Amino acid sequence: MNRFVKIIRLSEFRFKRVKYYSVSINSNMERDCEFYRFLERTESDESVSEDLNILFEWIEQIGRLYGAKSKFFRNEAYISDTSALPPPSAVMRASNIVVKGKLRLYCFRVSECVVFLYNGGIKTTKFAQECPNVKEHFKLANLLSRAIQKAIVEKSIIWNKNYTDINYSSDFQIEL
Amino acid sequence: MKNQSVVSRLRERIKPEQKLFVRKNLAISEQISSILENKGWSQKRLASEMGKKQSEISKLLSGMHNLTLQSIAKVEAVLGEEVITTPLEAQVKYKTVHFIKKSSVSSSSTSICTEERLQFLESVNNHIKYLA
Repeated sequence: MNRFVKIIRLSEFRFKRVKYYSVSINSNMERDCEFYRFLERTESDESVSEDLNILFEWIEQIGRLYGAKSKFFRNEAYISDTSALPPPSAVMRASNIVVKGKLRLYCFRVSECVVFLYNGGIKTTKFAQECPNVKEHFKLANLLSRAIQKAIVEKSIIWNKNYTDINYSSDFQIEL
Repeated sequence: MKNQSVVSRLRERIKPEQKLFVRKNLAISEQISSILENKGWSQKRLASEMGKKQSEISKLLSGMHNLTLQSIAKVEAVLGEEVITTPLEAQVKYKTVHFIKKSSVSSSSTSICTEERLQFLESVNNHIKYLA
């Protein structure tokens, strides 16, 4: 069955330096987005309680103060280099944030100003593709990042005037 | 509690020391990046000078790594510049900086400022430029 993905502007994660987005699958609601599902699933796991707090604070602080610089993110899977596209510094890759410990949050750093936060979990194996906790999130992250990248190239998702945020039609959705 | 969003719940439970951990970690990462940029060094060069893998330097700059004082000292030694200055150290240095006029820094009036202090002032200026 095909899945329809809506882009969700995270209303509580719109900072001076970074505007965060997520995606909802077969839903229009912000509360159903992948990032909130990750937070809800992980918040009660005491083994990663501190890691989650730090990850959460990190997201907010780079949003407020520093911007989503590439050094803050670890690249997980190379998709393609679209560095010719604006903004020039953008390197389109599916990335993941590494917290000390095993917690992974998959995301897509579109530029220093725009980041998509997906889902994740506690990685228990060396490779994400082999881990029962994260492999589906890892696969989905790569599919989504590729689709979002394509939408930017095809201008279904467009940059604002100074390349600090994105715009898209309210009925825009991605079919997976 | 049940009606509260997960975002509010998480914001409430983050401890002050966790906020500080992230704040200082990110500040250190930015300081190291600023020094690297001023020196024209890449992360790869820093890794090589420190005898570490590039992935270890990436972790160090991620803003979430549990940095040890030992690793910060090693970075400082390799870069030949301070990454962390305590408020007391800064106070001593800023006392001099406070009385220096911009025009006198570029002139030869080094009688009131030692070479070391000038270097410090320059690194502060560079960092300000980097942040701007």
